Amino acid sequence: MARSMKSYLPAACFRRGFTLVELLVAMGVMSLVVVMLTNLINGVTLTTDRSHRRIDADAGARVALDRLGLDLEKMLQRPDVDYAFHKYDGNDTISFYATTQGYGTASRPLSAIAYLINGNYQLDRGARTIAGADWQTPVFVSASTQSLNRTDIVNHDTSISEAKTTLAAIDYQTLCEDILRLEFAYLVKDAAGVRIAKDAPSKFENLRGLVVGVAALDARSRAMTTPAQLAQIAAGLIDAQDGKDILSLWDPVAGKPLAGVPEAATSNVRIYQRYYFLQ
Amino acid sequence: MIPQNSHRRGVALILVLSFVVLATTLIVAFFSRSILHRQVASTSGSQTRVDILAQSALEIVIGDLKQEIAAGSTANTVGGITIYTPISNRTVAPYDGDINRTLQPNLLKTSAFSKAVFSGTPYASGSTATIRASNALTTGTSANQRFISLGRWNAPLLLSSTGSLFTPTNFTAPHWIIVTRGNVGIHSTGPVISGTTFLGRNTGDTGPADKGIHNPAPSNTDYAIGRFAYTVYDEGGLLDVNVAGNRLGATDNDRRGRLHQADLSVIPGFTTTGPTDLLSWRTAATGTNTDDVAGEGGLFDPKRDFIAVQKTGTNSDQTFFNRQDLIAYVKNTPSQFSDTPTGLRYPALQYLSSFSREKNAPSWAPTSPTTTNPKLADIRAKNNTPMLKQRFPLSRIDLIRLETAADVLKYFGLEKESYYWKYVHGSAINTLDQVKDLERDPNFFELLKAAILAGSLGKSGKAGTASLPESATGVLSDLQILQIGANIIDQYDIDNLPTEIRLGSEAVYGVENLPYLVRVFGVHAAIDPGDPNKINGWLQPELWNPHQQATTSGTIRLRMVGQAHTLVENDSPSQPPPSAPAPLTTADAEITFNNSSTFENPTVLTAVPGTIYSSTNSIILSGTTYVGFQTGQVDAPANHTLYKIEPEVSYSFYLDYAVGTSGYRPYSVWKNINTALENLPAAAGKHGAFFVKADPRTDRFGASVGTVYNLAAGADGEIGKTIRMTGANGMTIASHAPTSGFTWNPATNFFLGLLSDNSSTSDGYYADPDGVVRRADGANWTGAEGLPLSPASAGRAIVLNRPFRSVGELSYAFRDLPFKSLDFFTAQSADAALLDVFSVDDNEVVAGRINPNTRNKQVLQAMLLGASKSGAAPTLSSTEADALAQAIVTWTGNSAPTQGPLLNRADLVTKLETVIGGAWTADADKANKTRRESAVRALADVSNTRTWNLMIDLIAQTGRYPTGVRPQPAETDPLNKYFVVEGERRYWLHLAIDRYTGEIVDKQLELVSQ
Repeated sequence: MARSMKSYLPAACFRRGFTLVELLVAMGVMSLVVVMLTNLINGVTLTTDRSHRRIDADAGARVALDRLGLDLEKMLQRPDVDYAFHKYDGNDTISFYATTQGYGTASRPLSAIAYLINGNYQLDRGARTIAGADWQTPVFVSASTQSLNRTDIVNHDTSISEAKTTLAAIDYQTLCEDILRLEFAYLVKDAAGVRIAKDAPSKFENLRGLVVGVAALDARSRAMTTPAQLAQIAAGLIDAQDGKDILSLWDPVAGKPLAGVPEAATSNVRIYQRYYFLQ
Repeated sequence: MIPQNSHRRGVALILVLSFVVLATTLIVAFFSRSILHRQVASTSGSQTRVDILAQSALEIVIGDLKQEIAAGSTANTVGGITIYTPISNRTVAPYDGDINRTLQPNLLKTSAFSKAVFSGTPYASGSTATIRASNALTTGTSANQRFISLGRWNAPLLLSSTGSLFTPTNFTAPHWIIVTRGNVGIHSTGPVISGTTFLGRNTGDTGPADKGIHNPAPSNTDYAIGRFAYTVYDEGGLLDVNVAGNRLGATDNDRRGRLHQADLSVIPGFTTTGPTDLLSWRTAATGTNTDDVAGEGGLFDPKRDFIAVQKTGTNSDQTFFNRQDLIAYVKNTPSQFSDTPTGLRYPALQYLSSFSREKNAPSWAPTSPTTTNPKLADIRAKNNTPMLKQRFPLSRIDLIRLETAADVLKYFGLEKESYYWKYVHGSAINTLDQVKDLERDPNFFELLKAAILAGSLGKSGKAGTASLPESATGVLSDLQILQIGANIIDQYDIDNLPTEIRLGSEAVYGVENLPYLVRVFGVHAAIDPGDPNKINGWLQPELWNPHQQATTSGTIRLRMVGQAHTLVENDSPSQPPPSAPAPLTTADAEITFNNSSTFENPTVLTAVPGTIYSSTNSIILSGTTYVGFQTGQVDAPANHTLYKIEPEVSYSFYLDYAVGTSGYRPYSVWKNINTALENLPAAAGKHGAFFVKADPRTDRFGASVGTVYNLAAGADGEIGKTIRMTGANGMTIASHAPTSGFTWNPATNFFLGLLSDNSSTSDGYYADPDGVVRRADGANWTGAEGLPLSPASAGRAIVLNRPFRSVGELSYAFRDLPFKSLDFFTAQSADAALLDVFSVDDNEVVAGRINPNTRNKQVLQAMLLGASKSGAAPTLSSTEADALAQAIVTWTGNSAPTQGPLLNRADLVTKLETVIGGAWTADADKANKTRRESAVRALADVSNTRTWNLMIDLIAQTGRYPTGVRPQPAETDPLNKYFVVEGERRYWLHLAIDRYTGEIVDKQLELVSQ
């Protein structure tokens, strides 16, 4: 059998095989090619991965900020209607009433809206068509609150609690899984003009709008972190200050390494900011 | 046979191809994802762009409106703050010259081809409004099949239509305003490109190559980035249904004057039970609570502004958040709203709004401004801002009852001393110009002085008639202002105790529902049976409460201060000496009576039960014991028949009211009678000669001397008669009638009663110091109607003794001139500005006002229907309300130079006298002042001409004209045909803008979801 096969092979093949050098060179070239291709593929993969992460974060933030903008455009700006732009150390919450449809059976499009960062460090939006909002039930949205005063939006704790009690956990839906930080500052009008302030103005008339900043971390980067590390990342993005917009506060620290947090995660923290004008 | 090396090459090829496929797949996947997200981002960006475009467009429209304000005004800039006073009544309202408002009552303007937001006279000739709109109708179809139908334009349901569809009739769709990089609006005469060449350079075109709205070259400022169009509605001419609607109970149902008393049943489109059901829903917490305590949320709470809803425990009122909410409500409550009677879709929505605001500040200006009567909107505080930031709330009068010293001083300039108030801001009432230097807000009396025409004050009857007794202070305008102020206070407070205010050494007393001294008869009689030649003289007072609701008034004391004596004379040189001066003792000088009479008609005091008097002060005449003040006994020889009573120097009469056990306080003084009362009837005990006042409530014009008209010899004069308008049983002024500035028909006698008419067509009248004859309360009397003197007449004065429910109720207050209350019914009124200076509402910005220049008759009708004609029944009928509303709408919509829009609340009086008067049919309504004023009372406090309430319906589209488009000049509608719409946004902006400052008072922006 071997012999018969041999008879079909070209003569040159029988004259000599591959030398060791040839094999080594060939293997070397092949290895080089494989390495180069691997690097190329890795590079492309890394690039597309980063792009995907950025696109995901951008898209998520855009959706969230657009949604917030639409809700704020329909916000009830009345002296007898409460709202709460509440600032905490760390993530803030934004609650208000808007003429938009939420979860519920009332036919009147009047809902309590809330934005907050949940325990998993994701941005939730709550929307509940409030009880008694239907035209058949003569109960106003803030009937149970006392001393509602448009001129004092700082002490609206009552309204905050009302908004929260109006919104049960079931009314919340995660609006963006990537967003881990929500911070806002006030746009305040005073004698000197319009300025950014961390504290609310004494009168609602002087509130011109909000500067809202969010920070996003894509799902893959999140997978590298623990909840504690997410908290650490969020805490690294400082709270609002007078005279500075959110972006200028966060830009020096966003994406920078944090002790104990994988750099692959911290480097993918992305920050966004938008201005909303209320009046 | 395949060579071995060929196999190897094939493997390499496969490997390479595999890598290529892999790489291509990755790249394609990456780019497809990127493109997808780019599209998403682009959409988001378009929304952001169109949002910015729409909001910028709104600012442009607002800017144009402000330009309209400036062009229609005389601007006065002080310290950088400008006040825009309308050039005429034509420019006090938004320009609507391009709209047929008979067909479209709510529409003011649209973005229309070749039209500006204002044009023509009387706008300032140098002010040219920008013409922005192109000739592309919004109903035209764009390149990607987008258009705005007429039905969509009528989404607010404010346009008239004649069918059952939303599509309006008699309405031309707005034109698009093209927004380019460099301009807002292109137009055939505009700054960019003319004719149809704006889309690109056609053959033969000249000019820069980079021009054209399709050319995205960075240097091309004509590149179009979007377009917008708008309509502007007169939302102020609608009923703000967040306020309007009458929930008053039956006993209060005739109240009108504020928008929450409007009768919605006149609005087309409500079902029979619709108004009630709507109000039950909307005012679930307030209900029919008519509480008038400030801050407590009742329907008459002066602090209640309806911008916020009321709450009671866990219940609350309701409100419509915006127009979309209102429309949805109407559509979802068929039990309250229907298509009937007109068959239109939801016709009620053409008359209803959910937004109204007014800067609650005055804007009246006199024809000839002076320091005393300035242009109120333009009077400045020390820092150059407008001094009058808010109409003076009438509810502050209650502070006087509460005696909150700091507030009374601040708002009234009064301090309490003993039982009376003392005006402490100087020896005179300041003008507003003087107040400016004091760096405080003007008080109640200073505002009265600023608002009441100075030329109407301080009228005296004494000048030229030296012997006519009159207080020397009658000519002091400030005292009359103080008197009017006291009268207003006593109309408002619930007690019947006159308010005393002192300015220096002078005092004024507010007029209450009390008897006043109208006449003092001089009577003589022989009371000593043993000596018939001894004659006693008496001054016998006659009191009268000239008000409609005259009633017994508790304990009243009449005092005579000073002395007089009796004289008997004849032609003989030997005259008996006069009597000793009398009265001699305090007891003799006082008469006290307690609930003895209502004094509804003039009544000479008699010794009825409850009357306390000195025994010397009575005289029995014809079986009746009359009570008066004896002036002494004299010898009266038989041939001595000329009797008279002469003052020692002078004497005065004081009327005092009892205050519990703390004594008496004066409320009316007839001062300084220093003239002899002569020509007493020769027959004893006859009432034929007297001093008489032109009006018992005022000392103005002093004491005229009178005799009973045509008194037969030996007859008793008729007592208990009012001062009639005609001679029969009336009183003739014998000698000392006021003359200076008075006109008396020499062919007739001086009937003081004529002054209660004071018409220049009557036989007796006077002109005010400024030469203007201003009619009195009886100006329109006819037959038995309208006379403020007649017994039980509906034309008689009223004392409310309750808080004012409308600023129009100020007209119940006595003006301190004979039978003149504050005048809200004649064109010559000097008091009309009070309607603009004062208000029931106590807020700087209020909701619930309507533009009296509305084209919607039904809106005015809702305020008028059911309004009380004179403080109680009867009320305005549907026919009357309709006639009045129609007359006003016709007047304000008339283009005649003397007619047209009302400038301010005062014009309700000075411009509409004929209109309102002509709308009445019954004599009782035509003739009686309070009834003629019922329309003013119903409309004054809700009328708003100062703040424009507009609704701007704006649609904005981002998009572009594709590069390279080359439409031919003859193509139809190229601006629509080639425009590619990328984003669209619609806003309804409810805008309240102060016509006098340009300030945005309030605004509400609705994002319209469609």
